[in-house]
Amino acid sequence: MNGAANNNAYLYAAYIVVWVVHLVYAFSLVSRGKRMKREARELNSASTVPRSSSVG
Amino acid sequence: MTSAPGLWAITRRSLVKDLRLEWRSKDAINSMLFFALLVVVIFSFGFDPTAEESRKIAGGLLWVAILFATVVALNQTWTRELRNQVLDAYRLSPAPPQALFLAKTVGNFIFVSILEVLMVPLFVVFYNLRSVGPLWQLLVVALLATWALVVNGTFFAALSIRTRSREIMLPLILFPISIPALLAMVDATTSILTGDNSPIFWIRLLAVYDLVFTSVSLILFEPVLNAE
Amino acid sequence: MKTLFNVLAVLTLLLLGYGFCQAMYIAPTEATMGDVQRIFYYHLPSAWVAFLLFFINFLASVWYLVRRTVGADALALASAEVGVSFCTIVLLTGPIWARPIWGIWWTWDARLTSTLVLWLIYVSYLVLRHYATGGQVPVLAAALGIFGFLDVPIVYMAIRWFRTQHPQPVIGGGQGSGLDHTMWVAVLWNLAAFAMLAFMFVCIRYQQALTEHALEEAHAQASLDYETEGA
Repeated sequence: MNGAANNNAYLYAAYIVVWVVHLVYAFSLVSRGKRMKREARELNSASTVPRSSSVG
Repeated sequence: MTSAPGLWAITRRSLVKDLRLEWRSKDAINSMLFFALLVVVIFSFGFDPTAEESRKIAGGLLWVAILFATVVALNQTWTRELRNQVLDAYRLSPAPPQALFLAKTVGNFIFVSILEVLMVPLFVVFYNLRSVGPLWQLLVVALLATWALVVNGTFFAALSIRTRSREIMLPLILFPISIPALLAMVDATTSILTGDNSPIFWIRLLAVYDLVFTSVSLILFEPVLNAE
Repeated sequence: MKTLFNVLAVLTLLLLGYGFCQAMYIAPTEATMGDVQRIFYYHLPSAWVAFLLFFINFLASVWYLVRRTVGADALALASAEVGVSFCTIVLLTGPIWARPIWGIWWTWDARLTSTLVLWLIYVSYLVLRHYATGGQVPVLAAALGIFGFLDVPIVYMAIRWFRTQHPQPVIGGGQGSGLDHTMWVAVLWNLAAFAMLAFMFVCIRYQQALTEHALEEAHAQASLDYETEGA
């Protein structure tokens, strides 16, 4: 079929789209994980601090 | 004490109470009617077809207009419940939740039907509509379609009552799951108006949709209501 | 547990790599469509994985309404998120494939339209979960998950009928029919790869949902302690 060479651009575009979407989602998982670790650490340190100082 | 009243008796009682309350606050109905009128007029400005085309698109325009009016109406009716803490009263009462749900749905059905009775003649006038197919079929479609919109709308309106940003959440949740019903009601109406195709399949689809979602709503309403 | 996870992660990457090779090099070039057809090896498995994930969401939603466990709710959320991600891929790769082959980006045929509606339903699910607040939200979401899933066969039937009345080019009409054996192999390898990827994503997201819940409780507890101590 003529124009097959041009169509490869669509092929690459599709594959790139797939990987970008998965990478974006993976990245969102990682950043959420980091945020929660930080939150957990803050909560831990807050509970060991004496009551007179402010919490959070 | 006499034996507990049946499901239908309770439903009827709740419905009568609701209708009486609605009637007393006539201002809500009046503003809804005016809103419905405005929607029809604005659509007429937006879509100005010739006589031949008008039959093809009127079905779609009419039902979209009714859909928007329905959402506003649904948000309205539950706002009052929230104000009077009626939902808590529902939870405490021994009445089966299904009865209350049915009463609410039928009440909304009547309310939206009143809006349709206003909007449809206006559409007919503005678009010079004349139906090729029989009118009784249009009536069947209207009944099934209105119930389809109202049953899911009432279910989710009731649940989102304490959710923040409730007003935008309701259409956002309701529209996607209503798509097959919308397709059916629009296509059925267009089929009847133009006489091009048979609406039977669409009418059957609406009936199936109504059956499925009424059952699911009835089954899920109690556990969901007692959530908090 | 950690080592098992790492082993599975490596396995997933290997599968994805091999699936890519299958799709790009090993599978033969399609006779009429050319190399562009290879998009199909990513498009179809993604669709199947998405549907499976939405089915899992349905089951988790039902379980949540019955048992009200945090785990059921977490699984519902995780499967919906990953499902939307895969469904987005289906909706993006489909038009990219259709454009060079059939000259159109989109058509309202049964498969495409049903997928779009499915996507809309579960995006509305995610919007509800992420932006609505109030104790009712997980219950509300579970109900929506159930409604949404039950809706899909109705949507499909509706649009199939609509299309018999208003015919238009069916995208991928020959999909699955007359597929060469070697092409099926490529499809299956990529199906395995993407299913594993989905599984890994869901596991991670599920854990995070549980942790989020625990953190919320800890926050609530902390402010409670603070208030009672201060009194």
